[in-house]
Amino acid sequence: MDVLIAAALAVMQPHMLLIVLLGVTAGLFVGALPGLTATMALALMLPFTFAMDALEGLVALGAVYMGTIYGGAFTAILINTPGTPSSIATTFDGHPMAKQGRALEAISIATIASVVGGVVGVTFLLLAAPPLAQLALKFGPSEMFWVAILGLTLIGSLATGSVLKGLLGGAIGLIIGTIGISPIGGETRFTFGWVPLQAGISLIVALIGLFVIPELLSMMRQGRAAIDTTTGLGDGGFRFGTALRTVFAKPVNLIRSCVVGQIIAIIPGAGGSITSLVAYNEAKRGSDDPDSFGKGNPEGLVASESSNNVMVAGSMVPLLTLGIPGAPPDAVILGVMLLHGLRPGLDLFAETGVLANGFIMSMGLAALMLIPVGLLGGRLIYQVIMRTPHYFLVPTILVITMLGTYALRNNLVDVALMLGLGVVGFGIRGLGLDAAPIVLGLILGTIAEQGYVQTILGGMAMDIPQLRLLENTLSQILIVLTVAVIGWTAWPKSRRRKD
Amino acid sequence: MRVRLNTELLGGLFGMALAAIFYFNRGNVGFLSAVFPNTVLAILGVLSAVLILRGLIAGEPTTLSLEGTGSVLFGIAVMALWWIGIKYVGFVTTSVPLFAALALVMKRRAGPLAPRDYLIALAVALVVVGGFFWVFTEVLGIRPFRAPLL
Repeated sequence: MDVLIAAALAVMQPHMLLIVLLGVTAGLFVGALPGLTATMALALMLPFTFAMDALEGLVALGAVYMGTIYGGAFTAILINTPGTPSSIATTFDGHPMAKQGRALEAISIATIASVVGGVVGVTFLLLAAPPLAQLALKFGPSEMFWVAILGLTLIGSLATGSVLKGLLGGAIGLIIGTIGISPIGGETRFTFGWVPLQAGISLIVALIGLFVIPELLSMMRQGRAAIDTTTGLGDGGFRFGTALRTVFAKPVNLIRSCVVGQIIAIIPGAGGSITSLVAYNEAKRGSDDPDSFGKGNPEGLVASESSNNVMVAGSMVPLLTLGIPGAPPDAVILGVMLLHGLRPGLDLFAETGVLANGFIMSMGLAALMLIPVGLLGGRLIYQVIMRTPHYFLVPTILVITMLGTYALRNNLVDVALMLGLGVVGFGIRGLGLDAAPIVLGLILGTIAEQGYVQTILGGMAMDIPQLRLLENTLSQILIVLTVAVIGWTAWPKSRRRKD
Repeated sequence: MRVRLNTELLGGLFGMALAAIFYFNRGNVGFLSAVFPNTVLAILGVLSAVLILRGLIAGEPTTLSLEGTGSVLFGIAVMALWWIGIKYVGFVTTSVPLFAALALVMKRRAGPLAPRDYLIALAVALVVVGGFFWVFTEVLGIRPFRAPLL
């Protein structure tokens, strides 16, 4: 309890509140710009945290994350273009409401649902993370190896259209992660005669390169034209009271959406757009009037926005307990933790409890700040997103990425690697290879390698030391889960093909 | 213009090429450093081979639009020039003209450019590049690029 009080006091400092406010506002603007994802927003904000201490940096990124996911709802409602992939389901009913002249009411509903989702996610994280971190202590090298493989399989299967391509992406990430010094043997590998590669490929460099640069090249290719601005905000006002009653009028829908969001969020790698789409689908299935979905039913809007904001804190559960990002933006937060020498797991809560709990509480604060920032800044954001020309947006982001990547280690080689990875990432995107499994492979490479090599060392007396990986019950459960994930995602496709 | 690509075959070939590059650059490292990458390389090879086979047997070509490829190539060239300029000339001196050039090329796709557009692009480039450079070097304390000019 003392730790929780100390954490609450730490995040209630005026400068922390200011960081949360600025983070939510910045996230809101970035999230409201179509094409800029939450991962990109966090990667862009990353260099600004270098001058901060660990808690300030994490609080800033948590606030940006919360703001970005909520900000995606603005364009989804106003111009039928999801600002972030997690707002796809928001367009289904949010935009029809805007077309009916209820844009501001839809924004109010999205705001309240987002706040509820955010607070629910943070509460769960606060309660569940320490015991889950305790449970993570039972994981030895073999189990950690299989957890890494399960995480890779999940994101490989769910984030891309093809299981095989997803797994291939994960394997590519794993092999890229072996560049540099071996974590167990200590020898230098795969430097291709280039000395700077001895330090390996920085996670942040790969994140910025693989997530931001392909988006920029994609914007250049599309030469995105001006977006449809005919809808406007409507003249009905925010109708905050009506919106409040609408959100809580169907408590089952709200609770179900939060539960769905929470369950999906704690599965490593499964977050993002999937959460809101599943919650929307469940809301439609459970509604008395499913035919009105897609025509401006606020229930759909509540389901989408509450679930995707539950996901923000929910996806931190695997990150903070096992070091496995629940969703791609969490990888950036992991990067900041590693930069400050913080390792996820029980030690994070036992030795730096104020920091870990303070970070979690700050996300709750960020969720609450969505109300003033979203409602007061709503009109301004609308004007900004309507007037920001993409031809200035792209070079501006390029400037930030160049400076940010250089600032990591004051090294221009990192900038070259970031640009190179970005161009490759853009090319392979055309082949259906997604960046998310590659980055997750890079993140999980060290965990997987340590688990793999340590387990094999323990089994050297066996004829095939690798068999040691299959020995204990927990490992076997994880193997079954991994196989089940592959089967579950591959099976319906083969059946569909037969049909 | 549109092209039809067998993305499974090409994805598999990409994976196989990558596996080959890493395989032939394994070097002479001990068991502890080699056992994991060797296993990953084997998995990478198998997954690539399966994708290639699937592409050859049952691959369905995906239609990809080539519209805007020129802009992408221009963008890649700008990035390369940007990096070379930062290294050998200076960050601000390189970034301002390239920022403006990129913005103008992208804007031109929407219609012809007026003289005013050049001035606006230059002004925005100066403000954005100068502003961020100032924030990073003076506020965040990041050491400036080591280049002859600013």
